[in-house]
Amino acid sequence: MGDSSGTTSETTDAALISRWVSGDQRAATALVERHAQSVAQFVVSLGERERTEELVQDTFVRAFQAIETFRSDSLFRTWLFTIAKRLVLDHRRSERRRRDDVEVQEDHLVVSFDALDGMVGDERMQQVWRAMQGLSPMQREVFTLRVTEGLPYNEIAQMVGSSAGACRVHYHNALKTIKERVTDA
Amino acid sequence: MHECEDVRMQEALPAFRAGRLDAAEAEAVRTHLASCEVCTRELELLTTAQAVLDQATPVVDAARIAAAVIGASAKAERAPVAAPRVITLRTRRWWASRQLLAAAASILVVVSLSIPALRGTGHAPAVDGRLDSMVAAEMTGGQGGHAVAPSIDLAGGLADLSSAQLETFLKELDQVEATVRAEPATIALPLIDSPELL
Repeated sequence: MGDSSGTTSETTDAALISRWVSGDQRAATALVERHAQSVAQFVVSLGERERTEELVQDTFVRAFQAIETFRSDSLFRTWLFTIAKRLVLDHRRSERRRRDDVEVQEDHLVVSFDALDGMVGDERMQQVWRAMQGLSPMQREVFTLRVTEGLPYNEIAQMVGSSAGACRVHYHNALKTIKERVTDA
Repeated sequence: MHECEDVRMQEALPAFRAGRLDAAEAEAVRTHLASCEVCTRELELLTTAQAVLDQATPVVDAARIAAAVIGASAKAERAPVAAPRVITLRTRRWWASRQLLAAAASILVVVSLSIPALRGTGHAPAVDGRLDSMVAAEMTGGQGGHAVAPSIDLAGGLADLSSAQLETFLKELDQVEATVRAEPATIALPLIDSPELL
């Protein structure tokens, strides 16, 4: 098992949260070190590469301020992703209001990946990257959560506010699109 | 590309790649991959997608973020929960007068209830005069006690007292010791020698 579940042989997420609530500051550091990069990756997949670290920090600050509301039957990392997504949407809404006073819907999670073309290494990776640009925001979010975290559809559904069946369809449509756009895939 | 017919194995690929399967499930996927080119290629694609996201994601400073979390938490703890309530002198006086009134009312109720009760006690054939002497004895602290002789005639009960008498009585009550004796004063009962009661 990977460490994404927070139930490795090391201290579990739940145990670290208990230690933090008891006043152990090192527990907070351990939790941040364990999950920060995954949250950052999720934020990037939502198209917020420029403000990644700021959003990741805000996510953790919000999470630790509301740690009493965290239900131990769900994954801490999944909870962090939910908070991060809410922050991204809030940021987009306020940005959009500032620009043209138009309400942003969830579908407006448009990612501008163009600037990242030069960062992705070989030809095959660039093809995958461009193929991911062509996905709808919902497809990209479901695909990212499924690939990077290996989450089951029901957990993804809770995060994106959809059904498990719909998420399954989004994932397979995303996979099909990428396969079609990548040679030898 | 053809599709894999083992849907369960194909669906397990993301969790396998992310290391979320237990040992037995992971071994089953490995066995399947050894004979399925479609799933092997799909797994390679998923691995490439992960690598793309890894490369596109800036490395965040976890130590700095942790420090911000701890700092924000400490700041929240220092913040006052609620503004302290301001008690003015006027409010304090109002409460003090209310407390005095309540205390006076309590004393009146207790005394007015206890005197008729003592009068009606079956095995204490006290007449008014004797009861008054008992009350007086209690108020003087019994034999040898400090004399606080009641100046008010309570024979008619508290209801018959005027406001001035009541005020005087309350003042005298204030001088009586708050602690009552555990044993009541002995009452000299008349000998009952009636043959029909024996």
